[in-house]
Amino acid sequence: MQESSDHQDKVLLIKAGQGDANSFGALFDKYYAKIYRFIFFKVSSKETAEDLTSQTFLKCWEHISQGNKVDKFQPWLYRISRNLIVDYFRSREKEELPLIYQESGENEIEDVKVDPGQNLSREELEKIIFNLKSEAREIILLRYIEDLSIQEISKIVDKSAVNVRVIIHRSIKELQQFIKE
Amino acid sequence: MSEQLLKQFKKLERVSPSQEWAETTRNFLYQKIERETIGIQPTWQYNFRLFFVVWSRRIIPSPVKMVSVFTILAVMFGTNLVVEAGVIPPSKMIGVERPIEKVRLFFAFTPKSEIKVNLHYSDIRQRRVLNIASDDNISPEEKTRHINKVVKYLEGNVLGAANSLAIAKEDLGDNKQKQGEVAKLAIEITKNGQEAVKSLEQVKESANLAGVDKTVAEAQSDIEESGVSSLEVAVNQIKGQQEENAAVSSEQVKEVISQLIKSQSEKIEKLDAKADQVGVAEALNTDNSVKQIKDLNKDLVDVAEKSVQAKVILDEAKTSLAKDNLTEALDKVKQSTQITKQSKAVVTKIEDISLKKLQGNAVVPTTSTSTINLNNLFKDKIKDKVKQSTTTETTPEVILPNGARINPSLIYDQNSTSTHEEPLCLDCE
Repeated sequence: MQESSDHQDKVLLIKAGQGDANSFGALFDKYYAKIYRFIFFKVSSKETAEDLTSQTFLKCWEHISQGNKVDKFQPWLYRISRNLIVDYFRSREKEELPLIYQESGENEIEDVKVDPGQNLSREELEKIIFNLKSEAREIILLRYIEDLSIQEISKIVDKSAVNVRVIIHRSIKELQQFIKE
Repeated sequence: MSEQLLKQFKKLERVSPSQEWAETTRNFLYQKIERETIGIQPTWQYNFRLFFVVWSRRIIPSPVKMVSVFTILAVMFGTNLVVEAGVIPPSKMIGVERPIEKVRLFFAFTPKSEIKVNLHYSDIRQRRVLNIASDDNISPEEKTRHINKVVKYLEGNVLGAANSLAIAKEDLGDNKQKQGEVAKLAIEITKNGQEAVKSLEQVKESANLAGVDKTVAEAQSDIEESGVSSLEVAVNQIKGQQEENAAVSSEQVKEVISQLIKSQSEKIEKLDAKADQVGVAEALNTDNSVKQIKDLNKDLVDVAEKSVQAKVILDEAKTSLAKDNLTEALDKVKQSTQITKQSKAVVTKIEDISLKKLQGNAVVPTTSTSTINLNNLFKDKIKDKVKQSTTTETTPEVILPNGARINPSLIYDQNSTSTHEEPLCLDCE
């Protein structure tokens, strides 16, 4: 399935590179929600997320319109958005940078306790996600919401697959603190 | 617990931007692309790249698929080799053979390769059916079932090869090389068919089971017919060809026809012997009414006449063959085969009637009627009848194909004096 999707992306990219707006539109429709979520759970602002998502696709167009080749489109698109997020935080004051991009420091944990056996609301889940460390949040999102493989995640976050596994393991442990005893 | 929580995170998939934003952004990007690429014509590199990306996927299979296909084929063909090496039912490995055969036939893209596959499996099945027939570790019921199954497949192989030959013949045109190849295959099919008929004869003898006789006889008859029709193809192909250029020489065809004549003669002899045997048994059956004996007489006369007719035609075939008239010789063999087939049907009918009577008397044979001594089975019955015999009705004589005459009424009364030269069957004791 993933292989077939990659191939489809490749064909659309080649066509888009020659000015086929419909092909680029198809790529946009396929990925805009994913990229938006990825950015939203980093910047926690709807408007900023929308703005950075638009910028991601603009950057993507600029790259392919110059005839540059893209091997794997999805991880590449995530990487563009990740760089944009970094640029976004850098352009603001340093104290506003999330933990992953800061040299030290930790987020404050809100008092959220849930019973995972019950049907949790979106707000409760968002609270838990936002309370995770930025690095863990990113990987949990890619792994359990977007269903990406460890290999794909490692390409996006620029870490080894083993490292990604370790982070996932730690994040699952971290999630224990939000569960009611 | 954490796992339950992780599953619930899937709900966050619903977090998405507004539709309005999505529409606006798409339109913006669309216009930007249109504006920036106006007047740009697709380059050949683009066309090539697109073609390569689209078609490479269709033509070149993924490594995973390739490895899987090779593994499956290796396992299947590996197992097939083991099966072909001589495994017989009830081994479960036999089950692999049919799918493999179907795969091989599927990948046989020409009628010629289909013929080769069918002949290959015909050889394997001939060996197997002989192995099953001579295997003493299988129960008679199982043996009957397995033999019938293998014989059906064997028949299918030979007939399949003959059908493919008929298709190959249609596509020949004036191509001499192809004509020669087809003639060669036709001879191979006939030879294979002859071997199959011989093997089946051995199966009948060594298995000695009533349940396999009918299937084997039917298969033999069909295989013989297909062999003759295949040889006809060879004869037609070599007709009009220069001897030195022909892929198949007329000598080769002559040899095969001569083999056919020989086996046909043997068959007629065997049939005559069988008709005598069955005729004697029926003639001595004291349960037969006058009408039944008259019918029997009629049938036996019919068999005898047909036998003579078939022999005469075979002699004519030999003469035609000596004169190198292959078409006529083969035609005569065909006629003789047809006549023998008819007389065989009559003998089988008499035999079936005898068997039914035996079964009616609670004697259910598991062995074949071709080897069973019907005379002995009737002997006890005849003795009983002799003791209490007071028959007054005039019973007609039975004339056997070998010329012997039997008067059933004389069997009942040992003291009666007969003026007939041959009062009793000579083969009875």
